[in-house]
Amino acid sequence: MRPPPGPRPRHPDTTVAAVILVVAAAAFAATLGFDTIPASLMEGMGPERFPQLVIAVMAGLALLLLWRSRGRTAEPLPRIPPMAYATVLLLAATVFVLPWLGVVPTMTVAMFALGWLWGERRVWLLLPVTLLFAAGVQALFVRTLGITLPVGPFGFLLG
Amino acid sequence: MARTFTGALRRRTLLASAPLLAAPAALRAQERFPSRPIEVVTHAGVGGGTDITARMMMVQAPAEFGQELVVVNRVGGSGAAALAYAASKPRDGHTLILVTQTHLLTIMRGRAQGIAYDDIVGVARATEDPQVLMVGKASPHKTAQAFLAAAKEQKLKFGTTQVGGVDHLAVFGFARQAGIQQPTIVPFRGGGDIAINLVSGNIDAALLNPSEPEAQIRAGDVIPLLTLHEERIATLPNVPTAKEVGFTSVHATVRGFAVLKGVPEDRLAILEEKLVKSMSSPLYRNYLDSTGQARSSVAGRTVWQAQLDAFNAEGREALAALGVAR
Amino acid sequence: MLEFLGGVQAIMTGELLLVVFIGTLLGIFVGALPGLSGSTTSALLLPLTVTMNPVTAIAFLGAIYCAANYGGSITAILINTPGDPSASVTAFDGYPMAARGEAGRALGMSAVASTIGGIFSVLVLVVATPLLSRFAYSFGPPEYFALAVFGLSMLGAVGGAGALKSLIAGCLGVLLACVGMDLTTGVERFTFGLPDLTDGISFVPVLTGLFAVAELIEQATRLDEKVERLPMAAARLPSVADFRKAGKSIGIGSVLGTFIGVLPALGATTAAIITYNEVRRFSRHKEEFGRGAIEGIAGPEAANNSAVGGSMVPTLALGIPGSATTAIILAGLLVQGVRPGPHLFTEQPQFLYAVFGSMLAANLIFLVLGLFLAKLFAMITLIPNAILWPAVLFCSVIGAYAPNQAMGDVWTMLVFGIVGFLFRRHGFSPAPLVMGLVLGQLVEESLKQSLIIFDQRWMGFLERPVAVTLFAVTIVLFVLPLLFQGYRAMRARAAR
Repeated sequence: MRPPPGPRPRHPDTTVAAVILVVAAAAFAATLGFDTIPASLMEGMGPERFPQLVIAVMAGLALLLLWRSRGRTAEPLPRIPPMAYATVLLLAATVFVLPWLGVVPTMTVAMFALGWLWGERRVWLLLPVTLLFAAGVQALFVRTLGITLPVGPFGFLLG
Repeated sequence: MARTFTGALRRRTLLASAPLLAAPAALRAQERFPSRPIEVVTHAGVGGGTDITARMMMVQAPAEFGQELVVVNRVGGSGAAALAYAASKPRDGHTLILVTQTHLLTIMRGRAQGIAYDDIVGVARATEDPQVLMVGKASPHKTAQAFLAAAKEQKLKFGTTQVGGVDHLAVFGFARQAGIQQPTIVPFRGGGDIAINLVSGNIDAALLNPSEPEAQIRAGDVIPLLTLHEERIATLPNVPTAKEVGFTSVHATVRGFAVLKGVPEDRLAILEEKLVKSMSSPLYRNYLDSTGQARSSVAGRTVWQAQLDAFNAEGREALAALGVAR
Repeated sequence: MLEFLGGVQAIMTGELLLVVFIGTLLGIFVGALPGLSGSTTSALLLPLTVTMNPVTAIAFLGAIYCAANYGGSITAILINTPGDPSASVTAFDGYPMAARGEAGRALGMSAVASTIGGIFSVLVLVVATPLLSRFAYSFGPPEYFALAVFGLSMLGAVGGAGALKSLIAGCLGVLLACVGMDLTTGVERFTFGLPDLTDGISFVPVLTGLFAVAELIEQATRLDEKVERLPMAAARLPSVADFRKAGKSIGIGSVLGTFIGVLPALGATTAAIITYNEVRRFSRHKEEFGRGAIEGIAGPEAANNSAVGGSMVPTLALGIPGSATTAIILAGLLVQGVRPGPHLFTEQPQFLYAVFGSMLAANLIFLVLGLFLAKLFAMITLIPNAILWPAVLFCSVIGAYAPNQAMGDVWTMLVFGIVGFLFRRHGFSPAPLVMGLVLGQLVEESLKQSLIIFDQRWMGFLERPVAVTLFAVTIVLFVLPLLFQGYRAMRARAAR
């Protein structure tokens, strides 16, 4: 098979290795910012030693990965479809409003919204299932087991 | 029993609350209290030791208060999250904090996000578990005197929990009070691990609550040497107190209820009375007995506040001496 | 042994069996739900048990404990969402099997392996508790360090995607385990001033993110694909051939699980992980692991349930709980006025019979229920994606939030969902990351504790026979296969 025209695609591992090296560098920088401890508490290894060792090993492995992917080509990974981005956005929005709207109300809306987003148009099926599920969670966690969840402004609807 | 002290306390709380809450407090004073479920905020996860204490106490409390009590677990930041949650609630007595020394330590180290020690108002103590100096059976020092003499000569290894935590401060304070060399600290995740390492001789000694290595004490694998309490403990009648050996050293693991400053005095009194009453129930007493804690653990505001104050003063000093106060 | 069976029989009245049955049912249910674990449920029900008579109370808590550990595997297999952290390993191979349409096989294997592991450990508990309990004393920090190194020695091999990537993921896991307050110095590490991180990264949200949320995002990329679903195949239970294949794994899991359970500092999750490594190491079908190997379910499931019996050993004989749930059972015992310790075996044997009997009964009950309901549960995989996964999301959020009631945990879950998705896209497996996360803390802390105990002399490790033995086993098991491979390659070259 001939390589496609244009600039040669990078091996995906090159990017991965680069990201890991960045993560390692950031983590290493963070270890330098640890609080210093007074000599009276110092007992052998300082708090930064072990993480630094692990970071060093990780960076070494990432370099190895980089070296191995050097000059190699691979099929580009399949494109991430827009639906995945939409799903992640929905999840992030859900978590964001969670403390304000309350856990059960937010998750009820989110459950319905995600089902709808994923193409379930049978509202007669989706809505009752969602509501039943929410009622079940409320009955079990909040009522039976007494776990407190943030209720939000509409909490009174739950009784 | 708390009458003599409440006058001063009342003045303090009323002064503080006056500008903030005068109008609503005046309105609420007419209402029945508590008018809605009371939240008990703990920094322990569901199933942690402090969480269990809360749930044990709460078996009886709803009947006393005529309201439900709800445990709210706010884990994180060694109590900071629990304190922050309490601070976000109105100071009307419907939010209780289950306070431990860990909370105070977090405040001392300035990690409680704006909450100062003066904001904590003790309501009732729930448990007081004295610390006892213990060694493993392989230890050459079988009496308190022999141990202290040896510990003056050499640097021993003490097992504790988290370095910089409550147990560590207790060891530090004990060593200073006893005039022994500051020991090498070997930190573990919990009292059980410490007991095991005492038996196997990996560490020389530890301060433990008597209930933690109870089976080991009975089997003779762990030997209690010295009680760091005002008087001898009922379950360890042969173990002398520090005072009997010739110095003062009192350390205990305590848990109790507190509110944030600003709760009206009349409500504090109601909370104190009903909490103490519900913790005098047979069920809670049984819990105290079976976990090896004295029934005198349950105490009102005066005793509890004094203990908090004492720990606060001692803790600040110890942190400064260790060089970790910020 | 006979005496024991007589005691159990005497205590197992119809009423008590009913309580055990309810406990088992409840245990399976809460174990399967990601938001509730056996320990949470027992803690919440503890005040209730106080009003029961002591024997009933202990039997009830024991049944919940056993069944919850099994229940965790149900959701791990069906929707890639471990209902209990100890079942996370089960998801590595269980979910691929369910995705292939073999949910019934996986569920059935999990029920059988769990029961065998569970019963094995109870029998060990009956026969050898006094003996085994002394064993816990010979495990100090140096020995735990050697054991953790043994556990990590297989890091490069799991995950199937190539040693390099597995090792990187493992390092990342170990690094994550460092987040929070350092035990030996009290310094906060990688917390970035967030109070939710002071006590370390919570385990459950990371797992829920890596498994459930990552799978949800993955599903979003494949909505267009039509999946052929075969209802009958999904409900089929494992065959005799399956059991023959998995027998060795169940054996390894039962023994390792009991052994690791007995050690107070380690629990069912570690037992499952180490067993997964060893089962893979001794399997003739290494290539199947991570892609739906039935041995990969049998071993860890046997292990996490036998760890239940194992962790009862230090709880009952030493009064030192070996796991979160046994800590609550211990509290339950204390409240009832039962003092654990060696004397319990002579002074109050009826409590031991209650514990042993209820655990045996719970194991048998969930075997029957598990096999009976496996067909029903397997149908969950037939629910349309657009309804199933939103419901999984609901459960996951509750599961991440409820135990600590911290919003930070929900964000952690979301972040690890995205990480898990990208991980898989680039050929990484979550398995080594989970392993690093579980064993990372143990490695670091036991190393530092050991060095303090040894006055910073590294040679101190050589003076500990148990640790030296474990190191030697690690080296032999790690190096021998390499030598063997080299020898075979040489022979092949010579033959040519």
